[in-house]
Amino acid sequence: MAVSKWNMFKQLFQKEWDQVKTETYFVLALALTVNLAVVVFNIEQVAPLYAFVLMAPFLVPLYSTVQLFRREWSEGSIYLLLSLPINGGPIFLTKLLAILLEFIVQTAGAYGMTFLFGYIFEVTSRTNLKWAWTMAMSERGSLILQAAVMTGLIIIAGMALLASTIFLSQSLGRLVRRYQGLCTFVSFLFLLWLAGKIAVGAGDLVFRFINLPNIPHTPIPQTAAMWQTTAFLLATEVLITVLYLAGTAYIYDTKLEL
Amino acid sequence: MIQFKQATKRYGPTLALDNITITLPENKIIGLFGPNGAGKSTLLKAAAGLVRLSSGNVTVAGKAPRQMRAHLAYLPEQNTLPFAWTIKRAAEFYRAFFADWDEDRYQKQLVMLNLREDMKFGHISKGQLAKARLLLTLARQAHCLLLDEPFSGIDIIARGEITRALVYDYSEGQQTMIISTHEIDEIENLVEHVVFIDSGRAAVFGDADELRCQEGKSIVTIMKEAFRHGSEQVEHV
Repeated sequence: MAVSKWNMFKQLFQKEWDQVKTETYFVLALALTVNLAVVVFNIEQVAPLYAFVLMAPFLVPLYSTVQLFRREWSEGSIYLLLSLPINGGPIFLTKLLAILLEFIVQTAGAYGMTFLFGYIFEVTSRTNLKWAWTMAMSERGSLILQAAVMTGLIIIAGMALLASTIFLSQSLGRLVRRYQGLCTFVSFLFLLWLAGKIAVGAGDLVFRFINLPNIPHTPIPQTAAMWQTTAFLLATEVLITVLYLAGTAYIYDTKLEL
Repeated sequence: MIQFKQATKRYGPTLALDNITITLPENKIIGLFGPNGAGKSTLLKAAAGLVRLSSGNVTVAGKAPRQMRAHLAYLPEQNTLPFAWTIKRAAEFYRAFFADWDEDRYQKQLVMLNLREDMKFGHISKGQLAKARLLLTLARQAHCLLLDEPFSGIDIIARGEITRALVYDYSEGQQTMIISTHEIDEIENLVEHVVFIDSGRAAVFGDADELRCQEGKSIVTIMKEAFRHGSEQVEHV
């Protein structure tokens, strides 16, 4: 029977998605319940409820990331993974992709649902949304929309960076037999500090060769300047994510044992 | 052929393997016997490339075990499959990774072990779980099967089914099967070669028939005597 790398990757991804889909459905169900409750019971103090719904898509994927690695050991599936004829690269890449998909689905679902309910049931929100739509179609609106896209990309890359930091710190924690939790936590803090240092270092290096424009006073079109800055931030986040993921795969391939 | 050369494995102060040098022959059913905590599981894990030796080395067909993962089918003592999966889902997963997956063998063993594809690992009994894991291991025509305590915690009826499954599709002359257990009675008649492990050392090892003839005793009795005398009497038949 022939095996293909693509099918292996697909199976691994599906395995990881199976693990995180419960949390994804939980956040979507939470968003639906809160929005329905606000409409049905005509709740006036909605801010705490919405804060809960709109923060969940950022916090739950971090919890899933921790669980994704921890469950391999608690359920014993690490035996299965280590017996497969593949190295750590695709294993952790599929974990990362599952987390990113979870984050995107949760964010789109929770925010989309909240806007939709507002549009359908709240006259004020509908007016505001109509105004926002008109704004979005204007020249300034286009700038705002682009800024939103840039922010979204930076946040997604930021989530990838955080997830890879968690994977690497958990792998480092597994290298010791005692105080694994403490070692993982200290590694996590250290890796965050290191990511900051790498970002600053990369910034210094870039500014030495490229003169990034000061956005409000830029002589070139404002959007181009914004995209340049976004591209730099994205490149830095992706660089650190790749470094941390490669470190995790290296530990998995050469150090981890059962 | 699996070779251990001065293989030593330490877990902190515990010595799991103590300078073992043995060669396990190819294409035979090998019984790896010894009491609990003797080092059987560590020896199998080392052969599967799941632990790194503190010193010495292990090779499978002349290569490092990690390079041979596509040809090794390892069955650990504990469950390794996500509880939410069904047997069908797990088979799909194995099929994607192992070129030696044999669909015909899988279907036959499924019937033989009284299992159904829609059974969920989280919802079946311990015996069914053990059989399901064995099914996924035996459905491969791997060159080397490493089975760690396949009878652990299993009732007598399921044990019979497992023993039958082990021999049913065994490709004689093409597969090496290493069965680690402290319950020798179950497989005494199956094994062609035996290794007795005690305190991380190979106390006795050799051809099963030769051992029986030479000692005039059953494998169970030989093992009991070997452990009664302690592991200083290292013997190779």
